[in-house]
Amino acid sequence: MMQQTKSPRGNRPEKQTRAQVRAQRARLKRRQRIRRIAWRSALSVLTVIAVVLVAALCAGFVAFRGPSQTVGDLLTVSMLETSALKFVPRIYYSDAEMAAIAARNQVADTDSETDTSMIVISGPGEEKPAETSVAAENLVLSEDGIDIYRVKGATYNGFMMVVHDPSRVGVGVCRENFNSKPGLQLHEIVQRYGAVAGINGGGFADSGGVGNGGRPIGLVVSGGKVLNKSGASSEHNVVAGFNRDNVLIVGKMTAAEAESKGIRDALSFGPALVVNGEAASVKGSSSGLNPRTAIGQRADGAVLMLVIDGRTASSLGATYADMITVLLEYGAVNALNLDGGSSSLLYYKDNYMNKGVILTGSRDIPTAFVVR
Amino acid sequence: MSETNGTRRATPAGKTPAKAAARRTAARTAPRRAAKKPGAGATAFRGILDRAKRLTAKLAAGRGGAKAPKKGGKRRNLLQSRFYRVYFGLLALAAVLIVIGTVWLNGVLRDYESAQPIHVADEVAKIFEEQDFDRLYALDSSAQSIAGGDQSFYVETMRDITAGKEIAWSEAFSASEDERRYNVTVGSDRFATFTLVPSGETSPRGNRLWKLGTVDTNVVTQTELDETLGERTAYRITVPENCTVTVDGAALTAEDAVKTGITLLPEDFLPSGIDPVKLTQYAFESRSERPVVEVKDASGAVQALREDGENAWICGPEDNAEFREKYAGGIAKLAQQMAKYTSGDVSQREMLRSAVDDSPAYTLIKRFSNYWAPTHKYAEFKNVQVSDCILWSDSCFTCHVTFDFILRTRRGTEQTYATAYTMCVVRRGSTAKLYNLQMN
Repeated sequence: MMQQTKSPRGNRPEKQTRAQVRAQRARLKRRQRIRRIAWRSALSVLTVIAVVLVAALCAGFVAFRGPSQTVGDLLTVSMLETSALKFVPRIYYSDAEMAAIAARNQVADTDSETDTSMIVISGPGEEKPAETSVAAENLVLSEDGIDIYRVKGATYNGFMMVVHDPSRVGVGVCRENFNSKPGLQLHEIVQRYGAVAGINGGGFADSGGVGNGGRPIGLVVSGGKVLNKSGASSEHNVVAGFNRDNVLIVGKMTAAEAESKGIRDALSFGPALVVNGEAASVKGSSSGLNPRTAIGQRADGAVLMLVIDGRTASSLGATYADMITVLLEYGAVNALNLDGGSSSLLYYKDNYMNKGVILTGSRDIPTAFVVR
Repeated sequence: MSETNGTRRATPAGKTPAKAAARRTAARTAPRRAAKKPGAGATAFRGILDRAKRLTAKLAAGRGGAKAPKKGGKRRNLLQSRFYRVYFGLLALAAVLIVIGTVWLNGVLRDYESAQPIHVADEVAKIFEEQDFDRLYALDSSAQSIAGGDQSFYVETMRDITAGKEIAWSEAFSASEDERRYNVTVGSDRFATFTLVPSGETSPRGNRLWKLGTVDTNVVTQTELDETLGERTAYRITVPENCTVTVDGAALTAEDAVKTGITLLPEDFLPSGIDPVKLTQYAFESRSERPVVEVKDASGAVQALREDGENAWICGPEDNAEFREKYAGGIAKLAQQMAKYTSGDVSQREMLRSAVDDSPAYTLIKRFSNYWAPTHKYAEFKNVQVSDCILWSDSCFTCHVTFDFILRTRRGTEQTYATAYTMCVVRRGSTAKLYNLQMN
């Protein structure tokens, strides 16, 4: 039977069979169904994303701007210390507010000079037990003059490497002439010097968190040579450097002063955490919770290398105050904070002892403290 | 079938209003019958009817008639769609959960913040910032020991030190998780340190609460105080344990006591029913040349003090001089009789007559052996002194008797024995008898 249907071009009817009409309708329905499913799927996904975003924004608002200034400050300084999450506090705070938060949560600068007489390095065969309150059960390994302890706190896990002979500790670099080429991974720097262990060192240009680790910031002295001074030789850097007597000197010094003090190996970062046995003065939480690295020295000359994991569920990170607590517990007389975040790594005999932040392993860095 | 023409449906042809009304009435009054389920034929007929209606509507739309309201139809489909019902339901649920979560998080953070030690530190710091040194004196542990009661000096010194200078405070490093330490600075100098410790209580959500631990100012030193106000002198005072002592208006406390439970007599020396007074000795320091010391008993009566050595006083049972002078002769005679008994010059029977039956003195006399005394011609006494006659009651007193007991032998030699007795004498009727005796 013939059925008249309207032509889409006007009122001119076209003659179609019933079967054709049915087939046409079926195709139309299938297309409509597919469109409907696609639209609904997209709507669902977008809605989920929007809900998650709104929930995160609401939670963030309560955390940053809510009733707890302590939590807001901690989150702010923690994120400001990172490269990738710096933008988050900006959503909730103005620049002036962030500056005020940073000002009330920091470690005060110290002008104290390292008293080298407080370090008495034992000669071979004269080693005497250091005065620490460290439990022996924290010892992970002890061999070849190196002890590695597990460090644990309320919000962090990490490792403390104690090198009994300070003359074995020096600065390793990715190359003597720093340029735009990428740095090396920590194990590569350690292997470059034929060393057995190492920790990441000083800071480097890292704009947007994607720096290639090729250019260090601040003073770099390796093997008695000043390799980088980032500016004039009179520019003050906060430095941790070993002099020729293997005493770790911590504090501000220019490149010229480093040379005059006989510094053989030095790196810059800061702040100074312990100077002459006294903890640095802290304000508020002192800093955020992040992975951290520090170097220090005990009264008997043993070098302390502390690395803390962070940004994971099992280890959120440590503040500067936490670092000071651990360093003093291990008997540090002088100690300096080094570069942290995704750079914080401890390498010992072909293994990275800590987890690190980057899933693919170590990031490229220009400098490290190595143990020969 | 009538066409719909946009107006109210017209009365079916051939039916009058009256008949329609009658039909309605019949329908109301007639017993209700169960509705029949439409049969297959009725369902098919209805389907054909609906299809015809749609076709007619399409044709009418094609001729330019009124179009069906597409919008209303789509809205009706949206709300009827199961997907959208679920979608909007879940969206509403998510909104509610976000609100609940936000409120919960707000509560958690509020509780956490309220438990932070910084707020307690703020309160303590206000004492310094407002220069409330009177209140600080009560909290400052070093002030109590150094200033030694000179609160006015303490306050004045603190005001001098802080005048015109900025007072600031900051958290200092503390190795212990159970302590927060704060430094207070005046200008660039450290002025004081105070600590906070856990109070033992928790907030409603289980966060640890804090309280003030210690306050130490390291400003006023002992040397400065001594140089300014003069050296302090140490004093001692011994009083009955139920008495209170005030020195220059400030009461001495148990912490000032250096000895307690001091007794003047051996235990059980007095007859039962008479309690020997126990004394407490206090030590204190004062810059005053003559500190004003006052002792009051439990009833508030002021007690007399007597000197008990250099820079020392005692208040308690004392020698009754009047009584002593009146009865010294009899007391001395009794003591000498006892001495003679010990040398065998007085019989036991006679001596027992001077003692209270079944008293400690009676027992002592019974058991005493006088083998120690050498054979002698006679005994005499020199330098007899009676002292410390203390009346414990109307019928009991103790005293101390000393003398030189000299025994002269037949060869003419003399043996002198320095003797001291502490005696407890009680009145029995009209006579005084010995109750207890200690030979020193």
